[in-house]
Amino acid sequence: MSRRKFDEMSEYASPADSGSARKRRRTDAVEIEDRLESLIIRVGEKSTSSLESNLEGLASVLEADINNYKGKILKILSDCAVKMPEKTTIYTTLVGLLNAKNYNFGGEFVDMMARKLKEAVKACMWKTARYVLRFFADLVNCHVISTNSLLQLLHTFLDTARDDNSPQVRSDTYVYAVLSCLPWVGRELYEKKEQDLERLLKHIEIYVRKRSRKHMPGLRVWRSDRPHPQEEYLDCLWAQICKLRSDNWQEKHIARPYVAFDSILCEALQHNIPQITLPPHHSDNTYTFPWVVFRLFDYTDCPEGPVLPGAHSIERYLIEEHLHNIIKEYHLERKQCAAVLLDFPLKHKIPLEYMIVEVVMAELFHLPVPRYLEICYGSLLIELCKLQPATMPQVLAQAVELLFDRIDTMNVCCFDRFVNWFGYHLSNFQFKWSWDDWLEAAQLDPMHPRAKFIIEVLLKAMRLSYRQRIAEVVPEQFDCFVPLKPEPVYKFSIDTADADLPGLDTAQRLESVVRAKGSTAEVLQTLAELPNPLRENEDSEPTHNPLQIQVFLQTILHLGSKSFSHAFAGISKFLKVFESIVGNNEEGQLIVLREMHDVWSTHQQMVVMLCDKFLRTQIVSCATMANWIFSKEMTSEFTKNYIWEILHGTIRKMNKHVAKLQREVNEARERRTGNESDDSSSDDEEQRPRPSEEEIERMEEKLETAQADQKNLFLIIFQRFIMILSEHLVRCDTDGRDFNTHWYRWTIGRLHQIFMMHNTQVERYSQTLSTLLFTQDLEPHILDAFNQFVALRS
Amino acid sequence: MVYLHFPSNLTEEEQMLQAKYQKLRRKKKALHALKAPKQEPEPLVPLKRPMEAKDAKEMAKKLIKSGAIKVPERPQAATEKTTFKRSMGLERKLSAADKAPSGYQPFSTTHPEEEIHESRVKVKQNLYDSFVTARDREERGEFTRDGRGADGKPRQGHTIYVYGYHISEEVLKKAFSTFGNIVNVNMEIEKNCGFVTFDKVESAEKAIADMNGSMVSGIQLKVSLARRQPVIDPINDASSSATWSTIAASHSQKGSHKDKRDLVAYDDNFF
Repeated sequence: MSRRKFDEMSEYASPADSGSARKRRRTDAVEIEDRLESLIIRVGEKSTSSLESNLEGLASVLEADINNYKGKILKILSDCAVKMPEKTTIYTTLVGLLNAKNYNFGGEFVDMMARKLKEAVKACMWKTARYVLRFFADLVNCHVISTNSLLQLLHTFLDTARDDNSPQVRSDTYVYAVLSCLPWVGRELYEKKEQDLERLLKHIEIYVRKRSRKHMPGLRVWRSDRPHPQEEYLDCLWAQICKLRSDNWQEKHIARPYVAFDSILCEALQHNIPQITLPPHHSDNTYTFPWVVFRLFDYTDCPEGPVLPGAHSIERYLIEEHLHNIIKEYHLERKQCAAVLLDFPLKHKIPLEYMIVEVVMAELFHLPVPRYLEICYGSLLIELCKLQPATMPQVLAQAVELLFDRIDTMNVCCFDRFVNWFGYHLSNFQFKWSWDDWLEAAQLDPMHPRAKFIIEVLLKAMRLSYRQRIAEVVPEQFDCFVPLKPEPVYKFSIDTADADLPGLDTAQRLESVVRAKGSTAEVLQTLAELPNPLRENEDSEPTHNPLQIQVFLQTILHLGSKSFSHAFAGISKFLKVFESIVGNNEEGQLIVLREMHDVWSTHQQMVVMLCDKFLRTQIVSCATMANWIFSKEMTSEFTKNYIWEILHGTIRKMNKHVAKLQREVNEARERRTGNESDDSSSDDEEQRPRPSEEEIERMEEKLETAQADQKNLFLIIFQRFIMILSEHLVRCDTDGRDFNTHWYRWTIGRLHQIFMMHNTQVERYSQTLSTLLFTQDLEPHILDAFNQFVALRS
Repeated sequence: MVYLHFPSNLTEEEQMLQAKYQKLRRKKKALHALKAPKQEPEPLVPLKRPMEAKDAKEMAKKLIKSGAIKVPERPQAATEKTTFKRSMGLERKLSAADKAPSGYQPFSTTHPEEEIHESRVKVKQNLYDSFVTARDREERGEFTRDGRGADGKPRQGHTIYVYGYHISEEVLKKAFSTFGNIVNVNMEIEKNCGFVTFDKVESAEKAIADMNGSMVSGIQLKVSLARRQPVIDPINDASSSATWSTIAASHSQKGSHKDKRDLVAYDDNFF
């Protein structure tokens, strides 16, 4: 970064600098190593002298130090090669120069990279593998590696397509690696080995043609292919490579510093990449999920200025990959991330703001789940706006308008993320927006995606602000969209309640008991006077008393209605009462949820928080929560976002519980076996007693119960989905109506969302699901959602 | 980089292509209108901006980029069109002496092209330098006393600065809405001042001329051009863009909101 560092570098460039030579003798080895590392890492950053002279200088410095610091230099270079893919060509040039000066060093470097590749494919580190392959490809341009040996390696990768026993995602991963290195080496191969290159491409073409695309519908952000076709990543890259081929492999994006050193490099001897055999497929292997390329803009959307590269030009791919890498590198530091994105090396040649917004939106809407937290993208976009206020907010506003225009066919997972992001973004911009442009939405069916979007955005905005403010910000035509005033409805209120409402007197008494800081016993005593409407005769003892639960819940929530904290305090204080009158009874738990919703039906956030509280305190079980959401009383709420926030929260809680127990069991087992094999136990192990066999067994039992609960939860959810969807389809069929209503699309979208958001957990039970629920005779529309999920890994 | 020189007149082929493109576009539009489902009130995304070719060169460029047409091989261009192995080192060495200042300019809307024809490099570079420094000075508010910028022109801007004892957003909105459409009002209550952004420069000028020193609701106002004038040219037809831009450019993004709700008093906690 600092200027001084670059001056150091140019210092090396001047051959006779006795001062620095003396200094070097004085410093110890570690210091020199650090210095070498910093020099290698920084080469290619902005500098006062040209990149070529820096590279030349660095190469001669390294050459002098190779004998003493070979291991270190090799390590730094190979790390840079995979960790800084945007500087691939700079490091290949450096390696090329070193190889020209010291042939053995070049050989050792190639061996080391080959080892890295082997380790990467063994450990399923596909990104690393891809960058090593790309590095090899570019080393061909620098005369370090022979063309034939690269071709051989590429064919080895392509051969995975012939393995019949491995899933398609495996061969996809390898073919993608091959395709993505062609922009670098395509021209060289085309000039020197045209026929071999053609043969390679033919292989790829055959593979791309015949592969299955069953997973694709589930990964699309939009159902429609208009205005932009939704392409699968491999198809898109293949089209881009084909376009590159028709341009005779000329691209304008990659800077190639080695061209300047052609006269030096062409005299160097070349190495062969050592033979690499790819490990066979193993069921534990994880591969990158396929994805569908996100397209928001085309050149007609970007006004004056540089032209946006077309969807099938290789530049679009290269720039997008680079932007994604920047986000990955800096996602923890939003300010820095925004600055680096806006300082993109080729910013004058592309409509940078548009490409950044498209890439950030692509990450935000990525399916099945975004790579980072959604808030990470939201805060990044705000930083971008602050840093580039003249253009960024405008491009973002345009993006919102385009997204809103296309929302009719948007995937429900993405719809939720869009709502949450936009609400958050507005809260940082004083909720100002050209609401008047959306007035037409007020005339629409409230289930229509546009109307729903506005309703949900205002709800989200209200959570980040308050109702009165939101009501003032939007035009009066949107009064139908403004959330209701969040107020509790107390059934046993003395002013409004019917005088002979059962339980009214007890509720009054209970209120005064609680106000007088009564104990659990006193509360139970007050509740005990209520008759049980379920009791039919003297002999039968009902499992629960609905009236008791009703009176208790209403009163507690009424008294705790001031704030979240009040409500939570009330629940926590009388946990014992819940235990005694509700217990494990599912009917009782359902009444708890029903009464809670009756009190707070106008306050979605409160409902969400209380549901969370009930789960945490184990007043309500996860399974009951799911059953309640699908119950008759909730029909009117079913398509609202907060309901799904609750359900996903419930599933997440269950998953976390199982994961925690799993971790504990693994740890215990490790500690036990670890102790047996290792005689000299360290202090650390002495402190933690070695778990006994019984202890581990007990933990395993607990884990099994939790897993059974988890499986049960998923079974309930999917079964309820199948029930309501089948019912809808059958009724539409008998009535002769079109089944494809707004309700249907929301519901099937939600089913799809469960598969996507919790795919890792559902995957464990996919065998059971396919035999029990998603059988072949199921209605194909419902079965599709399941098949798309299965196709993610096949 | 590759430079393509386009003759200022269109070749016959280009003219034909252009005509053809327009025709195809009309057809596509018609098809679009036909296909649009009737029950949907809005048709699916019509192209955002009408594409009358203001400049045939631009159009041709776009077409080439998008891959719709190919550049006809021209013999004299062949020598200039460098192939894959172009000597970038040479290019860089030649231009290394007068590198553009590489600092990042958050407020510059127009980044001058870095790669320009060699003979013009020097001139452009000097231009760029003076441009940047002028902007810097302006942003720091170091313009000359008479309110003229470094280039001698009077300063202009959309945003005005208003000072007055105990002024409020409502007062400003009422007093200044007569001068034009107000895009945004930003208050710094504790400093007794506020910033009003108009959508037109003229409105801001008129507001300064008419209101400086006048009394509004018993408050004497001092009105002048705001020192910070983020350049906001609408680059697209998204209508919220100007508002968002002004808010993004102002430092206190959340400071101006005044909560009008009543304070809620809580009972004793009996839990």
